[in-house]
Amino acid sequence: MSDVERTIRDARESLPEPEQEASERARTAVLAATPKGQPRRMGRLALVAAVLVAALAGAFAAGLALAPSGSTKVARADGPGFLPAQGWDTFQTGATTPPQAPTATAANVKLGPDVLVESIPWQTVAKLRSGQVLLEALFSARGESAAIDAQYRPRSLPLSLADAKAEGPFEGQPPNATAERLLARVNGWNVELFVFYGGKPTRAARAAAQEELGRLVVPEAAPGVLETRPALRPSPNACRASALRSRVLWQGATGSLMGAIRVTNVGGRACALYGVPTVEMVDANGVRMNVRQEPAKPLWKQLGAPRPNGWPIVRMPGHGSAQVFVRLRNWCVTGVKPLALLTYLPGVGEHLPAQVEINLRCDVPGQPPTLSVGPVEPVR
Amino acid sequence: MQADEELIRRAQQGAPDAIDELFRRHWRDLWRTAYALTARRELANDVAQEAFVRGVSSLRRFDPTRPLAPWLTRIAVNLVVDEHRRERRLAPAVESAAVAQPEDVDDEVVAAVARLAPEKRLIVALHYWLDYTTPEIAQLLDLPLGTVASRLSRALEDLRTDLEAEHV
Repeated sequence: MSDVERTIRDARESLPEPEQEASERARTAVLAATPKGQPRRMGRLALVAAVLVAALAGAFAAGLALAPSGSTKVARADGPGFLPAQGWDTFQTGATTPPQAPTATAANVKLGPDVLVESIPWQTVAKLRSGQVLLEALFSARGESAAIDAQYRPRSLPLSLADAKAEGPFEGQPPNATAERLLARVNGWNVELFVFYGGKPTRAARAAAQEELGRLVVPEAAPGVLETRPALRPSPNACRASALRSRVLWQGATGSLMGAIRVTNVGGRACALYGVPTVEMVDANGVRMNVRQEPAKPLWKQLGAPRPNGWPIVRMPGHGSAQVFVRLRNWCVTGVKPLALLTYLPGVGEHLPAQVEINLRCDVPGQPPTLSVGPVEPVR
Repeated sequence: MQADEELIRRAQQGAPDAIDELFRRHWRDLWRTAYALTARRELANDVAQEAFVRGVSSLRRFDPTRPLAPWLTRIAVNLVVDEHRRERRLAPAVESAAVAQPEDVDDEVVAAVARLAPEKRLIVALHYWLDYTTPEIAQLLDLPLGTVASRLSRALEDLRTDLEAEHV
């Protein structure tokens, strides 16, 4: 071994130390990653409960409090949850920051204080009588494990009890209750729904549960959830968000708006973009809107033009531009004014906002707008 | 003090205190491994965290009689190799100046390794700091053995020149 080699080996002892803040962040994430596949073990329950309590503690600290009995209790006004309805008591954590997972609860009885400290409020479940029902929906972000994701089949809202299966008893489940369970992939979430009945599920109880399921609102999962993972973290080779500006250039009327998100490199240094972005829409209050994204071909392919040099990588010199094909249709949104498209380009790390104005026809009422999005490509 | 094996068995049952203790024991080394491979604190944070999360998430499949550290290291190495491949795919569009600039580190040798081109730095770190043999590196990176050997040789030459310049 040469002197240089020996010197390098010895330097192993001089590698830097992790910073406290990063270590604490990692510890929190690791503790939230309790082994999967044993969902009803008390260990996991305790952990989830701790997470829930932490989420609520944050909400209370922000000055929020529980609403009176018989109404909706929310920790935050956004995120998945059940809409208020006469005779139903509901609770939702609202949108949470990973690793905290949102939950939503609804029952046609008064929810007990255990809803604050248990992922499934067993004490309330234990008090259910015949005809009474409690629904518990747990939401987790997709992408953690392909094997786990595969268990959640794509389903549309409203979820149907016909897809649920009688299961249990789960650990902690009181003997008076029976349970049904439904796994679904909805709007980018893995949703695990439990329906608990007092005694055997009667026809009336199932009908009530199905009616309440119709009031379950599931906004799009944040695409930013995975942005901190190495595969999607900012690349040193991709354009920096701070050097990019975006604007939406689309036109059309009644049926659809079609055009492009134009991305301009306002920095002096050349950089590169690639891949298909995730595009969100937010309203004037900054709340994420329910818009369904679907893939589209690049514009050059739609026009039958030759494949651009270097594509799918798009090089942008200083002050150069690239574009992303977009098409919006089925605008059945009422009462909300859209404000901006947020474009998450792979490797850039941050979203790029661009203001929009929309005046379109509603084709299929009850269905969210559809936004077709292509890969980034050169401006022709 | 509980042995790792006992902690792993309890962690497999979902005991948070066991996972916490495993984290306390192994995080520092795993992070330093991630830093050795990436030479960037932010990326090391991401890689080490992701490796630990993946390790804990799939702990049920782990044989508790085996040592945990090499397994976590292997997950981190695979993550870095994936990242390295991804960045290499983007490489044609990149100016050489865009290669990550090394951060301030106290040790001049660690700093010199950080200044190496990424494809050389990865091989140096794997070989000298993580004790991978050159055939193992070739297999890991899908490279011919000769390429690994020549990159290692050129990396040593670069380091020798760099370290000598530091002392001029």
